[in-house]
Amino acid sequence: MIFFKNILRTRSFWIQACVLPVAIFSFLSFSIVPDINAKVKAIFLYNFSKYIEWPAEQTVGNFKIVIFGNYPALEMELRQMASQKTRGAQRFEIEVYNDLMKIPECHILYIAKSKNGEVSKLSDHLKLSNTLIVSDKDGPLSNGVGINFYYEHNKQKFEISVDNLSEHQLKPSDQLKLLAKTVD
Amino acid sequence: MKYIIHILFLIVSFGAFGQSNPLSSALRLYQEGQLEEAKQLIDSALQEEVNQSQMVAYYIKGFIYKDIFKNNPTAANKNLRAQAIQCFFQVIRMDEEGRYLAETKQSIKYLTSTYYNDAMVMIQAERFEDAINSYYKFDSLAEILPDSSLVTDSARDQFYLALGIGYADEDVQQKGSVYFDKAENAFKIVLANDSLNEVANYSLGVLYYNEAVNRILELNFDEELDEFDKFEDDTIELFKKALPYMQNAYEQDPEDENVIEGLAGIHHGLRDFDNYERYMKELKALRKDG
Repeated sequence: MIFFKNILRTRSFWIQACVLPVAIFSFLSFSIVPDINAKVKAIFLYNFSKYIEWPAEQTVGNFKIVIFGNYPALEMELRQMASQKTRGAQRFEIEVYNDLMKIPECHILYIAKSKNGEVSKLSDHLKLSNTLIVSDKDGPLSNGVGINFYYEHNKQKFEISVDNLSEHQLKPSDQLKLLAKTVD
Repeated sequence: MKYIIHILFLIVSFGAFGQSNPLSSALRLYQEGQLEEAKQLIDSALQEEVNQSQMVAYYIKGFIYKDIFKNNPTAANKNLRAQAIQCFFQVIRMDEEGRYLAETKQSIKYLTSTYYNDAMVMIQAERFEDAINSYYKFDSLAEILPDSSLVTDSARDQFYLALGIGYADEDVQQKGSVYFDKAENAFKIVLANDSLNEVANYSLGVLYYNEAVNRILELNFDEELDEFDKFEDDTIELFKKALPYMQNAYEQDPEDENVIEGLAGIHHGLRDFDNYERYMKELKALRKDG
């Protein structure tokens, strides 16, 4: 896939004293800036589903990932992931909500940047659930949030709160903890 | 065709050849547009020693061959082009008074330029090796042309730009990583000569950017995170390589929407969202004005 596409604008180019005009490739043209970060976050979220242990009762039925807020590129990537992958016997189910009160119990909840102001309320709302809450914001990791995405040296990184995960009866693997910045 | 009038004048003035002379017959057929017949006649005439010392024989042959090629520039006739050029060079060697130098040089120039034009068409057909060979032929001929005005940096830069863009084409890139290197090399040839060339700077920036983005989007979802960290080192490196070239292009034309969008894309890839927003804002303003 090429994101800056070649287009053949036929700008006539003449060699001096040349009889024939020559059509040349004149410019590379841009189409759209793809959101590579959506693909990257989808890979991370899928890995979280692999390297975090949920209580036994959560390992039956579909594995539900909810996006809170609008992030169409991530939704698209996650749906793509869901069409290709499973978590053991569990199929992935992707849902998007904009109203906090309507968010159902789910395995992973990703909070889009536009909803960062509602993190505290959300944590309260899902306090008793076995939900991995993933935020994507600068600053300290909020109460109730298990994992937060951040960037360091141009790269996607994540920080993890083992305590917050424990409150939701979630257990990260040692491998995941090694790759993350642990905040407690 | 107009130059042949000089020959006719020459022939009539000096009375060198009679009506049955094969050279004048070839000339007549040429003037009547019977090129194949003219070719047969001139080829036959040049088998004879007496005609081999006649400058006018090579002159007529050059024009006949040139026009056959010009009317039908197929692969089968490419050899006629080369022979026409040889004939015209022979005329230059024999024309001590320089009587036909101007029109002979003009014909060589024309035929030489067709090698260049062929090269450009071959690039579009993804016949890259043929294109390079045709360009080299153009270049070597242009160099030996007396008082040549064909050898220009611009012609060379345009060729290598077209070649680079041809190699950078999506379908071509999918054929193998060698084409990434070839595209990079072609753009760098242009920049070595003209470091401020906007298209070359932009294209090289795009090449690196596209490579990084493609690698990311082609990743499998189950890419292990420890491997992903190393993977990101490489893609970040590509975004970083893209940035100075796109910035150079921006300096050449700060209002080029393609370039601004390119800069936004690269900064997005580098997770430099402040600069991403800055360029997106510039882009929106430009589009609003436009």
